[in-house]
Amino acid sequence: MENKAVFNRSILPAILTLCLTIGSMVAYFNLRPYGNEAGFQTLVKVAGIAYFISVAFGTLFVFSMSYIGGAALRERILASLVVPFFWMTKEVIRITESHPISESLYWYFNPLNVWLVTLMVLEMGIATLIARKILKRRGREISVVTFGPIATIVCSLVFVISVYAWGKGENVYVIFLSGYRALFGSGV
Amino acid sequence: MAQKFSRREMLKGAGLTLAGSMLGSALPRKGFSKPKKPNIIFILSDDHRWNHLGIQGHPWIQTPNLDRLAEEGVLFDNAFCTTSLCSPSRASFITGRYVHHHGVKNNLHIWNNRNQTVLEHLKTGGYNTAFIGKWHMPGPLPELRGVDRFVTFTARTGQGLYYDCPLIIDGVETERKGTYITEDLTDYAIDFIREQQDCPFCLYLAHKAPHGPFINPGDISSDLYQEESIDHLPKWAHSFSSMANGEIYGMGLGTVEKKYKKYNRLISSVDLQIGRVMDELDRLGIADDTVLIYSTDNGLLVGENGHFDKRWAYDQCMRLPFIVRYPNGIVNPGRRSREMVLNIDVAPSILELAGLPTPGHMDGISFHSILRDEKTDLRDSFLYEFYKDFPPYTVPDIDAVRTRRYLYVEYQNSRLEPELFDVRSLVKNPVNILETPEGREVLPEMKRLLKHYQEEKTHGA
Repeated sequence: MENKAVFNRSILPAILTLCLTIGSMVAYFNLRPYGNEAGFQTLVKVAGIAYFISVAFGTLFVFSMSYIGGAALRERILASLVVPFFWMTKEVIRITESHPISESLYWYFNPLNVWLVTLMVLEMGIATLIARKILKRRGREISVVTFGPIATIVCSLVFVISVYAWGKGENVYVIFLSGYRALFGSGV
Repeated sequence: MAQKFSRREMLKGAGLTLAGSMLGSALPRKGFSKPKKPNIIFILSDDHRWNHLGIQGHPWIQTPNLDRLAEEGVLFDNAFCTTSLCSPSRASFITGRYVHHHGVKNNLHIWNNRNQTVLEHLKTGGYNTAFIGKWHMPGPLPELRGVDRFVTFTARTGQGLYYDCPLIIDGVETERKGTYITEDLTDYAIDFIREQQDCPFCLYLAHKAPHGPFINPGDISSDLYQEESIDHLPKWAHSFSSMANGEIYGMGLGTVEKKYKKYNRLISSVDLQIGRVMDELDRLGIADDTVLIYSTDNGLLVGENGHFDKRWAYDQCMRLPFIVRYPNGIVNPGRRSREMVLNIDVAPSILELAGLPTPGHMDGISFHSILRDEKTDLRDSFLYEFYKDFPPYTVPDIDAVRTRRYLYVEYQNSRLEPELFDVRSLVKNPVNILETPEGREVLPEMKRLLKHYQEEKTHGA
């Protein structure tokens, strides 16, 4: 591995992705349809897509970059968590507009976050294969396909498919809601 | 042998007959013959935005049966729910009471079995009754007193499923493989109507559609509306806006274009099934004696101010499609009424139509006089109330007052500032006029009205 400094190998990719997330988010939520309708529609779609990709697929970039840079597994995972955790926290803060802090914190466990974390795990498996392939092309003696990333990919896919197959994911939401009611009643 | 009458006797007899017939027409029929009680069918859909009807000028939605219903009855242009959320509004329809009285404050708040329903009163008044469809109030299924047939579902916390939704039929859970719910519930409704012979009946038919998740209905082609434009939606409603600002939790993944067309197909599906009920009434020859009411629990924002939700105190959420047809009881059918009617008015109106007294605990006012085309001033304003729902829905508690011209909204326990709207602007994007000269002039009266309602609410009036 290249063994770059921690900033270059892990923090920088995470910051770059976070900047894309924040930039696209700010643009997306502040664009207004003044005058140029076509322009607004185009810009808002570009910003929306960038925002979505940075949150949902940022892990692919961060994890593979930090892998190539020589980061250990824990460091790669932590770096990959930055953007999703930022987004989840932004959503929790949004909930505090109307709900007490305890109910807002419970929102960290909402089904969409479970999906997002599972997607991250899947991306980590894929990113490992991508990073190894790149390293091999650069002349590194390395096995691209090993048990670890393949098992990660298979397990996360099985989890996603089973959860979806079980009531198209709605049952997970019902469980979340039951937990909410058990903890907080009807909330009023 | 024919009896012979003298001239005097004949004149006396003719005079008595004439007097009797004149007296008969002058006096109320009550006491001479018992007037026939009408059958009552109340059909409630879920999240049907008020202007998504062909007759309301939507650019392309097809609702021929609801349009026909309006042409043969009265279309209420100013119908509202007093809380724009499923469970609270449903409870208001069936009890005739405000949320602060019936107690179902949000979609997690449990129904209190002490609540009396309109069906209970109708049963006492000699009606056969059925509740068929979406109950959707948290907790165990209710003890619906006075209901002869109770067909409902509890799947997905009472939201049900569009396909293969298990039904609970008079307490027995029944698999319904291969069924589409709007059609299936209508089948049960039609069966109930056919079974009625001697007594008048009341059928309360509550559909799941067109509530999300928006999927293609089982009785309408998925090609319907495929080529239609959504340019009439607010400019805010761009492709991804149903996934932003937390809307993704309720609306799921996918573009606005696809979801909106599916939503409209689901409305057309409800219309199609209502057509089946209307056809059955015609076939049985009882349409003239049957009051048919159609409405929904609340509306839906489709992009206004970036929202795809129903929990805000805007017209798009609180305004309802509302149609009443009663061939034997409506004077001058085919009318529109501008009177403000509310979901809490349905129960007392049904009771009056059935010739039964309205219990004192009901908050609503009967709109029977509007059906008779009498000069009526039902109300000039009403209270709207909202109690916050579970996360991710961040709409705080709301008290609002709406008049014919203005809407004043106060958010409780929230950083959100009060808002004042001219209701004419609410059809498009709501624009707060609080800081305008007009707003400053109107505000004191609107505040006074709201305070009056809040005091009534606090003191249990």
